[in-house]
Amino acid sequence: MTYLFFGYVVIWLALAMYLFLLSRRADDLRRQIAELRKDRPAEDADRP
Amino acid sequence: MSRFWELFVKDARLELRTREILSAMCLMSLVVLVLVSFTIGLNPTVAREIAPGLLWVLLAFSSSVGIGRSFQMERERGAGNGVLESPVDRMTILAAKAASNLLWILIVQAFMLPLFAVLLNVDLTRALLPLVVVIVLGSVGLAIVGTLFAAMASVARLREALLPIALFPIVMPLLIACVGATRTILGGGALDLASAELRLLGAFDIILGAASLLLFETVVEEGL
Amino acid sequence: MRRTDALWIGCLSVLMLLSLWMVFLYAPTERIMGQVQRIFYFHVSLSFVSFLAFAVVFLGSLQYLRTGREFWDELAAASAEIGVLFNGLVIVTGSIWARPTWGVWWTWDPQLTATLIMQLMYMAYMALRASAEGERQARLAAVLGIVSLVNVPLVFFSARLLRGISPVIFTRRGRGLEPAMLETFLVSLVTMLVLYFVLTRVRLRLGLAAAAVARLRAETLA
Repeated sequence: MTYLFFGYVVIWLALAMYLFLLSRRADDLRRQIAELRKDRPAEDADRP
Repeated sequence: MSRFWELFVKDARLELRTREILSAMCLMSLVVLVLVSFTIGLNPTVAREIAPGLLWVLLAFSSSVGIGRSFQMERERGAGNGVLESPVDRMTILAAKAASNLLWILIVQAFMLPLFAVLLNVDLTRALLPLVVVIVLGSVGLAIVGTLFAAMASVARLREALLPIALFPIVMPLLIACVGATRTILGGGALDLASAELRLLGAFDIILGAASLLLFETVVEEGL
Repeated sequence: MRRTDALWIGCLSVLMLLSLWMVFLYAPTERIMGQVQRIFYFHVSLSFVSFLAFAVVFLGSLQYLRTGREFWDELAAASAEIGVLFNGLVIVTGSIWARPTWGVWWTWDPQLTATLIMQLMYMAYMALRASAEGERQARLAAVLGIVSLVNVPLVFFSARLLRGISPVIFTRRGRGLEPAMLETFLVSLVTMLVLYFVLTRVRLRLGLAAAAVARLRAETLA
């Protein structure tokens, strides 16, 4: 029984870790977009 | 076909003059062989047990050293793009390179097999002919796929590290089949006792060989 | 976009809870293997879906070489990553299953061996992706993505040959399943499929966005 729980815990941990990694990458991307916005204010201005 | 020979003979002639690749491959085999005997401790029983596997580990490592050099030389001399610019079919280039790699592997085996037999106390004389068949079949697949991967590795950033990382898992079926067949042969069995292994070897050579020939053009599209 | 996202995630959550309930409470306990057999439902589903993921890598690679469109390359990248994740879980859960069932963490059982070789192949694929950039990376990765999938059947055949090389404990996993077990398995399989789909979608969108940002950056710097 312990092995069973161990198995499912591993699955959930791995999935959670992967989602965490993805969100880290998304954050990184958001930061880069913000930087780009700062560098190109002119083009951004004509957007609503 | 004539272009194939031209490229092949050019490579062979260059290598026979410098013998860089051949000596590196032989040394690699020797070093691994000595390393294994010291770390695992090859008493006669152990030696007989692991001989088939060890033979192919040596072959795989020494081949990857040789194959890895196959485009490096052109790269350093800046001749790679010269070859690619000449009006030669890309498949012919890969075939010629793979053929010269195959030749190196077989030459190294010709030197290593007697040494291997002596150091591991394996009697090869009875089983020589079937063993040669297995080694040739295995080396063909290793050479073709390896040459494609060498081209890939030489344009990627990881270079030397990438070739074994990518090549060994792909050729695992080939190695498993070769080791199985070699075990049967060294155990005194006839070649047709290893028919399942030989079929797999043939399938690997044909399928992955064809895939490598077709995909090579994509790899060298932008030069080496 | 947001509405469909919410829909998929809602769908996934319901399926997840349902399959967990079925796995732990609905499905009967297997007589010989006992409770541990319940890992089977997720283990086998994950392994089926990782095959699908690697097939998608192959398709994406092929389509990329034919059309040269970035989308296919990013699809292959996304699918490979999730395939490696799922296939890794197949190995780990297989190992956790092996321990109480066969008394060891690892045996060179043909299935496990083949799964491990496959994992190594696709980890190499990811290493290759990390070691080149731009269009060249996409092309090299596509070549490896194609070669790897072509190799998968050979890997499975060769793993069966391994019997002669190392001791193998024979396993018969797919013996006649009771209806409740089959239902549980099918629900788990669908859950994993939806999980794969949702994850790949997220990862694909992230990859495309990252590529677009990289292009914009290059433009801004130029």
